[in-house]
Amino acid sequence: MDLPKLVSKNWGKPESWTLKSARENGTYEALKKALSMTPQEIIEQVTKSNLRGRGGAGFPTGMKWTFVVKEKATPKYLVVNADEGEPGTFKDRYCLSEDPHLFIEGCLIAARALSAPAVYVYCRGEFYFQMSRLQQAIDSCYEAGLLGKNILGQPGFDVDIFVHPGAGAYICGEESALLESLEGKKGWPRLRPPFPANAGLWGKPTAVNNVETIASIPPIIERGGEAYARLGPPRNGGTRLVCVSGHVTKPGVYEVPLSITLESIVYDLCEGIPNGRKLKGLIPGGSSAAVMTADEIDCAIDFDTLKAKGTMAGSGAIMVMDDTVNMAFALHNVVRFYAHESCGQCTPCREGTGWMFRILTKIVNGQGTERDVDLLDQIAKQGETRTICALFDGTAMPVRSFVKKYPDDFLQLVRPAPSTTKPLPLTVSA
Amino acid sequence: MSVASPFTPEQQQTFDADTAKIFAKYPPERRSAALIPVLHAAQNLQGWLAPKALDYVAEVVGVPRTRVQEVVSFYSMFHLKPVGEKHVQVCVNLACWLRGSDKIVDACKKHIGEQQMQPTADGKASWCEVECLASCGTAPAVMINAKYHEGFSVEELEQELGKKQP
Repeated sequence: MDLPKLVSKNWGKPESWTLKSARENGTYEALKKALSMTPQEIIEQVTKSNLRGRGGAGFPTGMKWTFVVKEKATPKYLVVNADEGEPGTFKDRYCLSEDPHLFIEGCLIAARALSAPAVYVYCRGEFYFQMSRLQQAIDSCYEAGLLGKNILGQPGFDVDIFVHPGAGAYICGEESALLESLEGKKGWPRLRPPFPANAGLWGKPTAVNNVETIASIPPIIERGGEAYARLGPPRNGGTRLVCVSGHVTKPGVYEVPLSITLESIVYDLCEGIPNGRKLKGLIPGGSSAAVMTADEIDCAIDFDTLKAKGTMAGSGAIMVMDDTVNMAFALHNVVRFYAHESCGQCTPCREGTGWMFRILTKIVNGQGTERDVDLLDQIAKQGETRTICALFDGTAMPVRSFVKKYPDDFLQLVRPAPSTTKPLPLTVSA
Repeated sequence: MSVASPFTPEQQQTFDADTAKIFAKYPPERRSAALIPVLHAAQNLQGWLAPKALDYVAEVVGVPRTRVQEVVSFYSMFHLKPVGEKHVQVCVNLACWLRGSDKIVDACKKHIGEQQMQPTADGKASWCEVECLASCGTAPAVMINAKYHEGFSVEELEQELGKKQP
């Protein structure tokens, strides 16, 4: 399959992470073009490109930047979210280690568009290797006049990029928790409004963007927003990196247009399910997304299509499960993660994730009842949208979809409810 | 400085050089942003964060000691007890589980010990489960000290622990 490569075009080339190699590959040409444009013109191109945030929420990048530049307060900040931690996601690490200069170029163009003098890259603490690659690339840019004062001889174009390590907390990938963490606190999400675009890092207007989003900026400037938008379906411009893991013959990161179907990714790009097994289901956008059955995957991976299907495109992490998997065990694994990573701020999440995990532990140990399965759905439903951030929603989505789509996997593990018990009064119509 | 340093003179040199670089990243009035990176710098030197080290970091960064406690107890990368010389963190999330992380957990229990975060008697090794390491395409993944090991196997674990010749 012949796919356009924009973000991953230099991956795997010899020493692709060095400035020398980056220059040979044409990196920093888009920056030169951006310097001939006004910040407003850059944002217009990004808006036209229909680029939507690649971290998970799919928020239009151009719109986010417009909010930031409308604010009067200075300085403005660009914060890059490199806290890649959604189970199933492993793309940003390659953006940082395989082509850090494309990423830096994206940071510089974004900083110009936002008039931001400083860029903070919040990188998950475990990424020692990626951070050192990025830091080396940053250092070579300072030497070459691509960072610091008067970049490329442009008077007044001053940008610094700083790498900031996290310390192992999934919640810090949530943008407001990330800002708290960057300020040197525990990662508790902030109540919104105000949104980070209005009052973010140290109360200043801040754009928080994912690594891949930023790495997509140079190709947009290079070819123009409209040409980039045309690579994908309406309202979902360009290409994105999908991370395929689990039971496929060739797992890995693939750059695809957003119009490609899940089916094509699994069977054409990843060459199907190994060992003669059949597909049982997959999670299309990181473990916070609702599961899809094998019959549902003939659909595009863009944000709108997957939302209409009751799931989400999320971070582009596709986790594939074959027919040997009992979905109750898979859900047990997923919910354990959220119970561990709940930050503890909101009661429905702090208590609910742990409660659901304990129920699932009972079920997979053969000690659950039918009522426990119903209870899972009720706990998930009652917590949804009642918390400050989306972590609980991201637990409720898999819980409700796994139970709904694979009831037999749960029921085969549990005892029927004793006939004397009344149905729970909590059952409300959907 | 009123709080005694927990470091040897040699360690102190490294720590001072590291923290100077860290503080340069933030506006002078936002010094507390350096807390997490400075904690990393301290932990890198001693392998864990003893109470004395936490007192010292609070003083260096200029934040209340309670704030330091709040932060170190929130983030899983900070060790408040010593870990083994080789600290094996096994990813057990969905993608690694689908590709056999259970076997690696079992091998850790067998070769290191039942208890997570409990170093062996000789202090050579410890292990724990860890949340998604972002290596799902090359699962199962483990992290030994600062290094990723992807597409990991029980045999490789045994080699790492010196239980088996390569």
